[in-house]
Formats: sequence, C-alpha cells, structure tokens
Amino acid sequence: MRYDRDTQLMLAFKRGDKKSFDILFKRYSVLLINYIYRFLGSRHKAEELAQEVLLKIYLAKDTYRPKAKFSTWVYRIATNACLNELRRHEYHHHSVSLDASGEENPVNRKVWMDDQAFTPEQSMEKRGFEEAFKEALKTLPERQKAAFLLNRFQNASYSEVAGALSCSVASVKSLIHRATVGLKDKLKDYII
Amino acid sequence: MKCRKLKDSLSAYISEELSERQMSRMSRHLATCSACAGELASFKRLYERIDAVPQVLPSDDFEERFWRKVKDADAGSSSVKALPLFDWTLGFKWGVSVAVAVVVMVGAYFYLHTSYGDKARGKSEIAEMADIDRYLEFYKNYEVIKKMDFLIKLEKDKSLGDNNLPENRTL
Ligand SMILES: [Zn+2]
Repeated sequence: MRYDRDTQLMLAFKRGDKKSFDILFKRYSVLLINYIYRFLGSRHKAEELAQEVLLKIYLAKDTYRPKAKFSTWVYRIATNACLNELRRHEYHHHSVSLDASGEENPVNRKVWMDDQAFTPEQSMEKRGFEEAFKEALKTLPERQKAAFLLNRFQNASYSEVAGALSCSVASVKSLIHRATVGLKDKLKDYII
Repeated sequence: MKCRKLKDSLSAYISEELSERQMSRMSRHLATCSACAGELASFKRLYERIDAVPQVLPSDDFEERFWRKVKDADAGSSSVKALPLFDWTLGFKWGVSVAVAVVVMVGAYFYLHTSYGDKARGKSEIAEMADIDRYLEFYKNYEVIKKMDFLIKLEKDKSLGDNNLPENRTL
C-alpha cells in the first residue's frame, strides 16, 4: 500500500526520526489553529485545542497504524476536540460568556483582522465581511460547519471529509450544500 | 423540480465532486437555465470572499508551549512506567510514608500493651521472638519504601536534566 506524504512522515517519526514530526508539526499547527478557530470562534481556545491535537499525534507515535489518510485522522481528532469543547461549554454555560468577552481583547482581534494592503474603505468592507462570516459560522449546525470548513479551508475532498466525520460522501455533499445555502443567506449583503 | 434537484449539487459541481456524467449534465443545464446559473454565480462569489479571509497564525510562543506540554507528558509517562505504584503523585508518596509510620506506631503500642496478656496466657518466648522479628521486618520494609522514595526523586531529577526535546526545531 502506498501511503500519503504525511502518513509516511508519521511512520518515519514512529521509527524514531524526530525531524519528521517537526515537519508535521509545522504543517498542521497552522491548519489546526485555523480550523478550530473558525469552528469555535475563539483564538485562545484554537491554540489550546490545536496543541492538544498535536500532543495526541506526538503521543500516538508508538501505537500509530495508518488506516486512512493522515490528515483525515488528524481532522477527526480535531473535530471531536471541537465538539467536546462545545458540549463542555453548553454544560458550563457561564464560561461561554466569559470566553466570548475574552475574545474581544485587542491581541485576538489583531490577528483576525490583520492589516492588508487595502485602502481604508476596502479594508473596512473586508473587515465587515470577516466579522459577518465569523458570526454566520456560529449559526451553522456543527456537522455542517465541520464539513464546510474542512472542505473550504483545509482542502479536504468530500471523501476525506466523510472519513473525518464518519459519514457517507452523500451526507457530506448535503452538509456542504446546506452550509453554503445558510452562509449565502446570512452574507447576502456581501456577495451582491 | 429538476432545477431544485440540480441546485442541491451546485457546491459539489463547483468543487468538481460530481461524477463525469453529472458534471456534464449540470453544465448543459446551466447553459440554458438562468435561475440555476444565477445561483451558481452567487455560490462562487461567496466562496471567493470566504477564500480571501486571511489565515490566522500561531502565537510566537506556540511551539515553545507545545514542547513544554510534551515534556510534561513524557515525564509523567516514563516514571509511571518505572514504578507505577509509588509515583502517582508526591502526595501519594507522602501518604504512604505517613501511613506506614502510623501503622508502625500503632503496632508498637499494641505489641507493648498486649505482651503482658500474652505472657499471662502463657505465650512462649519463641513466639515473642517471632513477633519481634515481624516488627523488625516491618521496619525494614519501611526503610525500603523510604529508599524507593529517594530513588524516584533521583530518577525524576535526572530526567529533568537530560530532556528528550528534539534538536534543531525551527518554525
Ligand atoms: Zn435550473
């Protein structure tokens, strides 16, 4: 069986090559932070959970056995981490509001709206879209959001998304379609 | 009805996730149906805007914090492997020491207080010697446990010294 590039790196790491993990770490840090950030809307949580996922990968070194594409495996762990986090916050409702207010600190906002080479007006409009998009994502059902983000931002194919969410490709198609319709409705002012 | 069904496949059409036959069927329909073509255009505009949203980058200390967590996890798992019973927590070790000390003291108390009764019941001197031997054994075990504590501590200090962080890490 031919393994994908990242699976090969993980197998090399299993054989003791620590540099291979470094490559995976670099590659997946950014991917995971962005995926989890968009999923949960909290930059702080995104880093925390991304580290948890990366730690799970690191600690799986000895027991790792490739069953799917490496990224599919990682996104499954990450999606579960996000869903667990949401469950936890539903339970401790109070901490949700605390986290939401924490999100308003300038450091976090700086990253989400980092300076781009645009005129002030374009920049304002762009910021408006980013904020609106962030809000619109919050309204999507979890599985729609997961499928949409994995496909759109992580470049996961429908079959990879299906693997990460443990569902059929037909379900993924439907989830992504419904997510798109939902987002289009919420963001219609921005896509005229 | 036909439009409705095809519209459900627009996202998949944009991502080219349809079969070849479905792709060409959709293309033919889009060429003649302005409603679906309009929907396709708005989907594409939405995706363009979303794709242009900038990525967030890890904080400067992201990697450093990660390796700290790895170190913690490694330290935890290696000493657990070495001596599972006695290295759960420092508190546990102290608990064991205190518990042993209490048992020894209570044992000594009962030994001294019951030896007269034993004598009265005609307990032989040999049996008494055996009792003393048992208590001495107990003390020896206590010493062994104390030494184990010391060794665990030694091992921990050592593992802190030669940490297993990979070299040449750059982000
Ligand atoms: Zn049509």
